[in-house]
Amino acid sequence: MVTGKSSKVGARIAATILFVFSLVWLFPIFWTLLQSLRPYGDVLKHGSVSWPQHLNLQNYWTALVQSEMWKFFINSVEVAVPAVFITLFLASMVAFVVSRYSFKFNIALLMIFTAGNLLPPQLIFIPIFRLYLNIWVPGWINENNVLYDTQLGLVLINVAVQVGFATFVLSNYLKTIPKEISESALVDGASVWQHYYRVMLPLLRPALASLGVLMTTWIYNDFFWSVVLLKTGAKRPITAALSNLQGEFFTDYNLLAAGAVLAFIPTLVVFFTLRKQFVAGLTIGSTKG
Amino acid sequence: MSEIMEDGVSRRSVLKGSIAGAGALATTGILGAGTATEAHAAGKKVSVGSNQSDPAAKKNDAAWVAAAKKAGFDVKLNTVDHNTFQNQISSYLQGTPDDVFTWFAGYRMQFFASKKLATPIDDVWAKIGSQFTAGYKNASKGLDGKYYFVPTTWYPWAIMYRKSVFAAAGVDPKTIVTWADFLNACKTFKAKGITPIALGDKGGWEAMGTFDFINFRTNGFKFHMDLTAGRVKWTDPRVQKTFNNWKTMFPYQNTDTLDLDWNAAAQLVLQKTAAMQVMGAFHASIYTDPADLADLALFPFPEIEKANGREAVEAPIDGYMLSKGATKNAANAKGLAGFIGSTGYADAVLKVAPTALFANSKMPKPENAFARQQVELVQSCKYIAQFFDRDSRPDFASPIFSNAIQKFLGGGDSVAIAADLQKQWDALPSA
Amino acid sequence: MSTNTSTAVAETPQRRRRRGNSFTAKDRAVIGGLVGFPTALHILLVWIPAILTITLSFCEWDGIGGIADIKWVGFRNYTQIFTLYADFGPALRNNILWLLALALVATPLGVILAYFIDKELKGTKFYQTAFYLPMVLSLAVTGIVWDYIFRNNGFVNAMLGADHPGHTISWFGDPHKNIWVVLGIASWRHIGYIMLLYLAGLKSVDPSLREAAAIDGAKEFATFRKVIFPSLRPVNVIIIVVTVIESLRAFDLVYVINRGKNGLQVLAVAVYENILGESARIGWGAALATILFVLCIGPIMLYLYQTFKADK
Repeated sequence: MVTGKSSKVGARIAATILFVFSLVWLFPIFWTLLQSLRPYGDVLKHGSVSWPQHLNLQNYWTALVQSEMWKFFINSVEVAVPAVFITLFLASMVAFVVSRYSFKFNIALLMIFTAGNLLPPQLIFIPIFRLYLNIWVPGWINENNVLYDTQLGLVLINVAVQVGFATFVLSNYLKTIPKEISESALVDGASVWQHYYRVMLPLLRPALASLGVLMTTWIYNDFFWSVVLLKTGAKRPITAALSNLQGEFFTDYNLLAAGAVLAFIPTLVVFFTLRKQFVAGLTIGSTKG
Repeated sequence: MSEIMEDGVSRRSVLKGSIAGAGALATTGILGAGTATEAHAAGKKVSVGSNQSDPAAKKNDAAWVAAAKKAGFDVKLNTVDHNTFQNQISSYLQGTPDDVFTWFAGYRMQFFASKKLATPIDDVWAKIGSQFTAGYKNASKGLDGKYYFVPTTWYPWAIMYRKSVFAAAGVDPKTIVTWADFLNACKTFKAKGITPIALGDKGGWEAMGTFDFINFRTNGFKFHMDLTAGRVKWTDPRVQKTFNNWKTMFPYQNTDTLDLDWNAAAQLVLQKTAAMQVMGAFHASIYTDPADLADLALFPFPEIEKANGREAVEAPIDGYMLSKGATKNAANAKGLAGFIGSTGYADAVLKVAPTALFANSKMPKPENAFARQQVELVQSCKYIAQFFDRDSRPDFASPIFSNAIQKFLGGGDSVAIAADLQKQWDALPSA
Repeated sequence: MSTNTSTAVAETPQRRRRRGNSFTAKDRAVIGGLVGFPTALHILLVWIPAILTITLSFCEWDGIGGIADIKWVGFRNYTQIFTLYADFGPALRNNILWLLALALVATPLGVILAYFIDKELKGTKFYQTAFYLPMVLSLAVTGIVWDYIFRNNGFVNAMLGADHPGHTISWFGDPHKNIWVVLGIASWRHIGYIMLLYLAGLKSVDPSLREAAAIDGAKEFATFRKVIFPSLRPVNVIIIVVTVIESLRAFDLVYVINRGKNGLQVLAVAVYENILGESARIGWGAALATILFVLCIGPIMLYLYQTFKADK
């Protein structure tokens, strides 16, 4: 490599550009945060780009309590948590079979799963809607006795779509685990279930953790399915419920900013605390294998 | 999990409510009285789908739901944001709709009635009919002549302005009668650095009001109704006269029309940077300061062709319908529909919304000045339209016509736009 | 992807036969269950609906009447969409613009960023976080966040002095401008995604490769182009596929900004409007969805080919 002064200057220029770029990148988020701390009246009087006269948490209080956003957080959790667990469980089973046993259908199966995950959701919506209206569920899940307008339905569709990606990633990961481990299990006379549950599942743990973090974010952020498969406003998860804050006959932009910040805080928390897993989850499928 | 909890809670509170409400039930004489014994055991459960998602409207809902509880109804309110509710009405009604839902009079109601997605309520009207004038009765019927709708509130569209702004510019709204008067007033405001007309059409529906007014002022009420119903073609040269008249307003409109929703445009009037807005009377809902509200007034959209005068107005009616699913819970749903049609409903809403106007003829004349002005305006008119998206086919108004209006406001060629509108009307499936 | 095939379970035919015979009936049932249930769920809720939608694209149906109301109309929905549907042209154009913007601007920028960050400059972690953060936000929130920057009385207009009420610059309202603003926002998200994928790829490049190239006296860019880039083929394919699929599936962002009207039409919104709008035209919606599917299937096949060719 060319050494000396010129490359050092080059590195410094690159670093400066990178720094400026990253500030530009963060600015919109910072700006929303600032708006959320200002009362609507203040902005009305002085314009949105003015030195803030008052900064307080009033908008957050209003959003959480008056607009009852906390309820929508619970809805999000009720969908995302079971969906992620079921997805990972199902995907690990398929990944286990296709990577540890050789069957003719292995590749075909993986292809179906992988491609299915990439299909646009709009392509499958109409039949899903009809199907959900015709699947019976007990009254304690939905008093209308159909799968439509239930969080269970939302969980199922998220599982069905995401299991494709998860299977693909996990099967790639399993390929990196030496086959000798499996063989010693078989020598010990373990059954298929024991092989899966006792031997492979523990080995998958790091991959499951990464994928779990990633999937939680994705399912939590889902907008389309929760808007189209739930008719009851009170059942909506937080991302879809944000539009409740954009009422048609009255719009308080600063309240909306607080709502938006509240909606993305959990994803930020997840991202910062589990950043390593998050990044690993996304890249595991692309580089290992 | 939480659903079970909610259910448990509501059932418990129902019991309390029904004890208090049992007495009221007998006196108000509500429909479905045959189930009075049930009402003693538990409130009559009815689910209601509402699009009243903004804070002011939520208050109205809370007020009448509380009144309904006293009358023995346990209303389970499902509030969905306004835009989504309208947009998804079709799949909502096909799915598992609530027993009763908020909706609008006009073809927008008749369309879904004719698709058999609503329950006829002639028996409800047999009880409440005496409280409504013939106009409301007609507005509540489907194309098959049966009743499908209970009207509750209404509001006119007109030109909204602040008295202080007009006074400061030396413009007397009473002198604005003809189109020339109107444009002159606009000129005066513009010279003073005030945007004469605030218009926002981000949502695609807001400017339909302006189109409607110019169209029936230019070509007459009958032409307008024929056009919305497809009996006249969009390629008719008279449509171009409407567009051309609108163009004479363009220099006086704000330039960022498509960036503003009605609320942002109304803010321009509230903050006195614009003088007027062609809007529904709900314009008043952004005036949170009573002093500002006292400054608000309206005058009728000016005359364009002498023959048509100012004899037509848009005064949409809001109300409730019964979904097809309501047949499973007919007695309770119809009972609640009867309550919604009664003064019990209107009294409750009036307490929290003093400028509201009610369809029920037994309600006293409004005390609020702005509300009185609205009543006078409508009483002076011969013809009442609902609104473009309520008078025309839903599959034309919201996806097709709103795009065309946005194109027109964005500087599109009106001849090409009209030709395109007709082409798309012709491609609609038979209603 | 397939760079480490040596560690994959590459079973010889002999071993396969032996093991196949050694399965007990219970093992067989367990395997059936392990694979069968997830597969059934996936096929029932993804593939069968996809096929049904494609079938429906040859029908006229308002979606309201029962299944008996479905009328077969052949290719009429398609011909009508191509000739009559005013939003189709703009939607297709915008999807293509979306693809071009992400592919020609955002993706290369993401790769360049990854390259710089990979050089272990000071504060690598901060940069990674800053660029990746947008990816963590939902698109619905993204739309709201950027609205504060570009709305009529937002930050940009204030900076430009174009915030006189009623006469502001219409960033979202002007159909000639708004798509570019939205593409900028989409890039804001996309760049971080690509950066992250590429960064992981770069980390996996054998350092001896670079050293060898450096000893050869190759210039920096040449090293990247001739040595590193080709060795990252699997990542490159993923990036291409992610870019294409993201462009075609674009929905949430424009839906939140203005419901995908007035210059912001995209195919996914057109599908949505025709299926779920106030009056449904299921046939058109299904046909539009099928068009979207046809556009998606190319990149999907490419991806599958790249991923599974080594296994075959």
